[in-house]
Amino acid sequence: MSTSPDKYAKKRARSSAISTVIGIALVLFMLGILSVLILNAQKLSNYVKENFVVQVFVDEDAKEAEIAKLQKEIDAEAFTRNTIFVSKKQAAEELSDELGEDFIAFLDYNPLQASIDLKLHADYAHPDSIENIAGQLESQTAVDEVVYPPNLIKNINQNVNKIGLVLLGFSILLLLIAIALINNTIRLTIYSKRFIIRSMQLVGATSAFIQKPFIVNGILQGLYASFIAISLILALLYGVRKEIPEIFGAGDLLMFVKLFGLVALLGIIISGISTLFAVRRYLRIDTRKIY
Amino acid sequence: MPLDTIIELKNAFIYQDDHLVLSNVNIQINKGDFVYLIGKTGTGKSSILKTLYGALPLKDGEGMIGEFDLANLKRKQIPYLRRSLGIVFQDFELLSDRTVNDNLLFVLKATGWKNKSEMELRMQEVLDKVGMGNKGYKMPHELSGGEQQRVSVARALLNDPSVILADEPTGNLDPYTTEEILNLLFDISKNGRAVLMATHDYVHMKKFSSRIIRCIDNSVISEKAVSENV
Repeated sequence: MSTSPDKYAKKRARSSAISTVIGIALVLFMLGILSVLILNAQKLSNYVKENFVVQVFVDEDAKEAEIAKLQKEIDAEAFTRNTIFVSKKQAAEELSDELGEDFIAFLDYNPLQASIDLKLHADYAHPDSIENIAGQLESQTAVDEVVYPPNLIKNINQNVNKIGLVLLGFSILLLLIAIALINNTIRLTIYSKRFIIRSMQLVGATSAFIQKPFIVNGILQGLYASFIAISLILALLYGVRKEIPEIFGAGDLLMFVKLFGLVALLGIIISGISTLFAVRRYLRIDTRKIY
Repeated sequence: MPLDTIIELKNAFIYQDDHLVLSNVNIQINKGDFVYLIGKTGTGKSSILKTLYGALPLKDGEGMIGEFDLANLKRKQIPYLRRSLGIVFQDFELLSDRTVNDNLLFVLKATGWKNKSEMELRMQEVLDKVGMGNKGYKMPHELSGGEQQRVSVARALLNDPSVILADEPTGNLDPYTTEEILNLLFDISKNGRAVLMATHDYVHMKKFSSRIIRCIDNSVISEKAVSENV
């Protein structure tokens, strides 16, 4: 019987520590994800740009050799990432698949043109240079028409900048909220120990001696929290990578090591410093103001 | 100042914030003295003790306890001042989050003890002295008020201080336990240490007669020994 209140007190202390750690972990997780987003905004826009298709429609009466020559010429250009030749028949099949209806049987002829689908390098996916490229291609005899979604690239370029700024602002805001939140949680924990801190002072312990275990504990909490946050981020990234394999390569490993180091450092610093300030507050407080 | 004076207040003015509690206090206590500090509640008994252990600053007058000058006490010196004293608090001031043994261990570690077996020996010694030798594993809230007070006395004895300050140490105790604690404090004073004890317990003061310092009307009167008309 006599040990049960003891156990209860320990359990209570542990559960409050766990909720502190989880609180810090969630905040660090949000910050980490935002950092990943910012670091990858460029990559994400490149991904969209490089999958942007310029369709070069071939003249109806162009011969196969001419088309092959044209494709080779385009392939040789600096702006080309890759090209795919889509014949009349393939185009019709693709469209039939999309429509779910055999429109050739209905129309009795194939109205589609053969095309070379051109994907550009990200550096050339700028509205002005695309216009140039289109003009250059259209002047070729075998080319009938060059078609691309006109505003997409412009939108991407503008939005990447805007989104980057918004994300940056958002993460600064989040960082402030994080600091306030963690600070508050830790202050509550220390507040509940203010009488113990006072008793320690009354029996002649120096401030440094009283602070030490609190700060060690704060740093450990920060460490646990960042460990949880990093695990969560890794799990999320793993999920994203399954959907979009191109987005993270092996070359990003260093970036992630740096990022996770930063998350851990941030967790330790915020938690440690908050603890330090909270403890110092009760070390300096007048005995009569403690209540 | 005579060589064996251990506590001295000269023309001291004792304030709580800006409120003057006691004026022109003159107290001198020698090694081996056992002194009662009495007075109605609110007359400044605790304030004198708090001034002596550095919880209230001495703004006016001179004060000396052991080797510490109270009028020029720096914040950094306060822990060291308190280590040289044994303080027994009315509300015990035990660390509620750890066992009796860990309470004592904290004080020993905080005051620079390193050797584990020496620490254990000392802890057992002081607990035995207050009759709590077999309850070191308990948490403070599992003990009765009297038992907690004994632990608090044991803690005050840990570093063998030359002065014991006790703020109503028997205020929460039954007469029997009170007598035990008083016996203990008297024994301590006989070993050449000074004991200053604030109390209301006039019954036991008659039984353990000794010098009295009385707080009345913002001032302090020192009397040689207890007389029958207390």
